[in-house]
Amino acid sequence: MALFTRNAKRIEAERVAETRAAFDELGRLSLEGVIPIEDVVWRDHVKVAGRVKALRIQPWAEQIASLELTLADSTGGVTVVFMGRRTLGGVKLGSHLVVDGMASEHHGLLTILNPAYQLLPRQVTLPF
Amino acid sequence: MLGRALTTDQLEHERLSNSVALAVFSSDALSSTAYASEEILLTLLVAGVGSMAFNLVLPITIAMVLVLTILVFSYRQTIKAYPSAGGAYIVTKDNLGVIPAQVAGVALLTDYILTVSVSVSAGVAALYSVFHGVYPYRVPIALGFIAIIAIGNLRGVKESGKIFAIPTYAFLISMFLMIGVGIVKATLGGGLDHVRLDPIQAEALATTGAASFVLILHAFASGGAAVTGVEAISNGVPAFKAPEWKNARNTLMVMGIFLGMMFLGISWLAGQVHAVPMEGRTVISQIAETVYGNGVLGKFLFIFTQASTMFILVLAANTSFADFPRLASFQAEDSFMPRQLTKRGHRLVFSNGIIALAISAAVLVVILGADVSKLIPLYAVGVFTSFTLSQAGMARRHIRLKEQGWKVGLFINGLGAIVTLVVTVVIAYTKFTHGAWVIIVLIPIFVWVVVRLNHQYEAEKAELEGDAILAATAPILRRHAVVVLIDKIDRTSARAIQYARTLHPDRLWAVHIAVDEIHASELADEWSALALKQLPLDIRECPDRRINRTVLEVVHELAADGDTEVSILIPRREYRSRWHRLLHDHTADGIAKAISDVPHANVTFVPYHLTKTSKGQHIHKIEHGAVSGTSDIHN
Repeated sequence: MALFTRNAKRIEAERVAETRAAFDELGRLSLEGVIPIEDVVWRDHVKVAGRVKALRIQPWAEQIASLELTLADSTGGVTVVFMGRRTLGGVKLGSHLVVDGMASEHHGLLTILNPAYQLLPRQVTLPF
Repeated sequence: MLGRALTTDQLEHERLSNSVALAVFSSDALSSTAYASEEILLTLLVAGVGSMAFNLVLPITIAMVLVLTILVFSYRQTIKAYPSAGGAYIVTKDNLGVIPAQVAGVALLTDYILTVSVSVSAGVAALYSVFHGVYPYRVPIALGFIAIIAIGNLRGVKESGKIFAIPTYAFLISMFLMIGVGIVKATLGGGLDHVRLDPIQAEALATTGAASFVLILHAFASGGAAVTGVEAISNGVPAFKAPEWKNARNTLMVMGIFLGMMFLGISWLAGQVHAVPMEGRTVISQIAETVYGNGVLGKFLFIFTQASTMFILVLAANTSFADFPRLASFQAEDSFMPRQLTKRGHRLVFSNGIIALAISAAVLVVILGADVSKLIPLYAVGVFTSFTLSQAGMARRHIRLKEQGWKVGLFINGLGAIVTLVVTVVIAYTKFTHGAWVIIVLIPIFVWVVVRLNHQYEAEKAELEGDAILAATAPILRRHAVVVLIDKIDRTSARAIQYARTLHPDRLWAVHIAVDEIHASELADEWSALALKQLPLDIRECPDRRINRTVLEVVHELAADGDTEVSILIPRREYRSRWHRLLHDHTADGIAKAISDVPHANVTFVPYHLTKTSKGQHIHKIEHGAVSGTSDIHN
């Protein structure tokens, strides 16, 4: 019995370590080249990661569909705009997101327009 | 409870005839004879001089009456020089400067508080001297009196009310009757009996000790309470009939004479009947009992004396309720007291001052157990300080202006200043350990506080008024961002949105703080179905549920460029009834408060008036789409 328990614990510990390692690997791959949001400069190609802090809902009366959100890490926040769609699967308040795109301007705000994006599980620690 | 609100033009004073004015203004001074003789006796007897006290009380009273005479003549000068209102505060401010005036003001304020405490306590003493059973309840009764007077004053008692004349004249009649009968009985009737004492007290009296000079000074200081209130007439000159200053002067003389005679008479009688201050029976009640005897008429006169004493003492407390708030408002107008004290309440009285006075006096009564002899040492230091300052101010004025007859005036006021200064020092010295130290410590502290307060107000004023014209014409900020805080889509937020659209800002959007995620996504769905152009809804994450902080963050982000005015519109339901208001929290107020520190952040509450019953039957139906108010809904 004791033997069995120890075995089970060992298996469990191994499983956790594997998962951990997998997440770390995922983080290493996805977060490569990510910079702090405060360092985002207009007209630069940037890759940033953060939490979805705010979602902007456009009424249907608006002719152009778009999804706007504010992505924030501990250094600041930046507006991310996805043109042509109103929702993105999995993107909601509090989601962790990596975006990769051109920093431009939209309504007078520094904005990353139509970036490549990747949802990150909560288990992946954000770098900034 | 306090009655209908009064309009400002109802403020106008009624002019008083001299006889009514005497009653109105002198109740404070005259009523102090009810306890002054007693306090002199008590000081002497406690020190153990035994029956010597009965020989000393009259000479000490004579000395105090001399001080009174000098004061009366000094105040005749003040009345003539300051016919508009010659309180110590104004005289000192005019002649000696602002800081000495604060000393006078604070000293007088403390004394007004003590007048209430002392008079009410003495009034209760007059009551329990008749009904010995109420002695244990003296503190609650005293508090009750203070409450009644305070409420009466919050309603706005007409200071000219003829009602006020009745207790004063009743008191005058009862005192002079008692003194008269006493004199007749003592001289023609073969002398007065002594008050009956229990054996222990009698034994204590039998030992005759020597009275030191310091003790006599101490007793004299105790008698100083008798002249408090003399300044009341000089405060109220404008209330007299024309020629105001002449009438006021005559009234002051009459009051001085009455006060002096009563004080002398009572002290003399106290010495004759060997009245001994004791728990539960005042000296006046002992004199009255002895003088009138035990017959039916005697009993009736005894009760009449006690009743009139009680009423005039309560009335004396009442005059403080007129003087304290007025003086406090003078000081507040000069920025030496909190501004709230200048506000007249809905009944045209300085409500805050009245409440402050009532609370302070009540606290004193509770701490010192409504005991007149414990309160007296605190008393009189302040009033003599203000006498000294105002007399010194008058003397300075004579030297400065050199009006006709200024030399006589200078002599009178100079003498007054010196005498009152000496009395102040005597009181402070002899009573220091008996409680006067409290006042001697408190007055400088309060003066320091009011001066600090003044610096604060002056600094604020300098900032607010500095370059006001320049500031008004300075270029405005380039952008205006308007944020409507939305909790859910209802008529309250609809009104706020409508209002926001009339502002035509550079940027306008709605913000929802997502405390509840499910609610937030429901709102998001509803919002996207709205037919509103150019009005996006931001759903802000708020994981720690601190709404104020999140809103503050939004404001900071918007104002970060330093070139944006941020307006936060908060829809708010206005409740007609207090009950409804209780049912809802004060989130909106909290948000407004949190934002108020950010420069260029402005908060606007957009009210929605809920109907009385709020059952919805009064609300008209609005057609769908009308909320947007625009014609291009479906383009």
